Amino acid sequence: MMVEWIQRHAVKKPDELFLVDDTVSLSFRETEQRARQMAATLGRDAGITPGSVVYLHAQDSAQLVVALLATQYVGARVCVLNRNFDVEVLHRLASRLHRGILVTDAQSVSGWPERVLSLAEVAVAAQVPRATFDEAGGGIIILTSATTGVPKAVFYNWERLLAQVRLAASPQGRGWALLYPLNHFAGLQVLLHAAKNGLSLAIPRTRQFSDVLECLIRCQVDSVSATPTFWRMFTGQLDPAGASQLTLRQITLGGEPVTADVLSRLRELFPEARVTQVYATTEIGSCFAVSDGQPGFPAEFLEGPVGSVRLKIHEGQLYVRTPSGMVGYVDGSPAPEREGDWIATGDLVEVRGRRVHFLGRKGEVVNVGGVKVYPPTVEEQIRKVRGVRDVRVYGKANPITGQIVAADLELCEGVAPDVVLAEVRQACRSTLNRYEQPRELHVVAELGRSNEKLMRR
Amino acid sequence: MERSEIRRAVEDVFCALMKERGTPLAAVDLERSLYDSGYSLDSMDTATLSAMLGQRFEHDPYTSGAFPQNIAEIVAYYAERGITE
Repeated sequence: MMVEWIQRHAVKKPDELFLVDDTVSLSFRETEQRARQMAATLGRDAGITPGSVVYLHAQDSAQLVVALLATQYVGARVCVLNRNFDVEVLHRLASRLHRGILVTDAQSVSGWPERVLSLAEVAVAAQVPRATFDEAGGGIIILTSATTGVPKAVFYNWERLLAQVRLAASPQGRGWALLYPLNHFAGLQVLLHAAKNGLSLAIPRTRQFSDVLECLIRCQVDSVSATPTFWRMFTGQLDPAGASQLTLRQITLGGEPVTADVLSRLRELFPEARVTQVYATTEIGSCFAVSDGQPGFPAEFLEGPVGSVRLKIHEGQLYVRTPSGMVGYVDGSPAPEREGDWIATGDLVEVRGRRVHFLGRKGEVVNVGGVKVYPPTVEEQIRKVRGVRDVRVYGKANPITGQIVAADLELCEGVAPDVVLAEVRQACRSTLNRYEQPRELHVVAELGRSNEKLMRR
Repeated sequence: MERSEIRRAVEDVFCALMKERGTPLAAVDLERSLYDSGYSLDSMDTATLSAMLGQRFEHDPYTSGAFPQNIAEIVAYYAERGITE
């Protein structure tokens, strides 16, 4: 469990900093003490018992990490929710997931079916901190990206999750920055890596450029993991003077296909840093990492084990066999497509020479900055607009987010295109997530069809 | 196209973007940063600006590998490479 690693470091190097955000700095000992205090409150006052579920709904912060640790002391299953989820999404989730207490930093959350506790209140120091942790029934529920409006709930026990985190023989460097949200698999991986290896974790106030830069400089961060979209935005705003204030030794990219442009820009700005691409999914976990500075991965990976993982290509799709993926879905979602022990990743790949390149997602899923968008979801909303006869939604290459959503529309006869397009934009704004909204709309005379089905690109 | 016309055309695209995101502009400040403490474009806004410029002018600075810091740099990009009228 993660708390065991924190306890070890709290004994070996009690005063070394573990968590740093814009309001507080906590050593390993302070983190461990605060987690035990919060655990006492959760266990005794809130009645949380081993195996019960606790939902954490708070901005990424040192306090949120402490709460995550506290749930391990009481043996609860914990789920970190996207803090941007509004009440409606929370209600939809609550109806599909196990019932559990919600711990939030929001002013109020109405309609949650169980008790709602304030994070600030449970963080108040208990008189008698909890001394031991309870492993039975504990674990973490991770919600995947909401592709059809409702995310899938993936369950891991801590052992499986920690098994994917490499323990360095002698951890180098000062520490990591948390640039993925903690409700994402990748954010948890960064946290666990820091916790297991006894490194510090700096949490910026926001993921805006100036806040991230300030955090990296103030905390002397030397290891950063983020999506290619983040790196494109960050390096685009970073001038050589800003770059010279950073001493990055490890740069990691993941979550979406890595392109040559971003690798080249990172090499140019940070020639001393090791640049690593990580391939992972929430369900399968971390599969492999590549640090040779080229997009894709070596074809030799298909020939033998990569760590404990095996890879193969079947009908153009990448399949993975791993001993340490998720335990399973806990919301009734159907199991991932399999072929024997092999799990389909949904990523379409192609071997060119001695390199395997990612082509995109099976089923034409659009990847906008690492977030998946299913065209049918968008098409459904656009088709509701009066004057639209039919629509085809697809991904279009974009230098910032990898892809954006675009749509070709076939309009009814006699309508004014400008009026219909304005209504389509309005409908998309009010019904779709921001990353799902088409950034390009094209009126076409006729959409290609085959057997009464829209032809996809 | 004259530089002043290019500037007006780029400003029109940028104003359309800002209106679309719900922050309409009375006037465009050519030197103000596009990001962060300036006009606060995030990755999604920047992706949209790239797409809108590409649609209007058939090519755009982001796709060409540049990362303009302000509107003046976008105008300079098109002034240098030209725009098909």
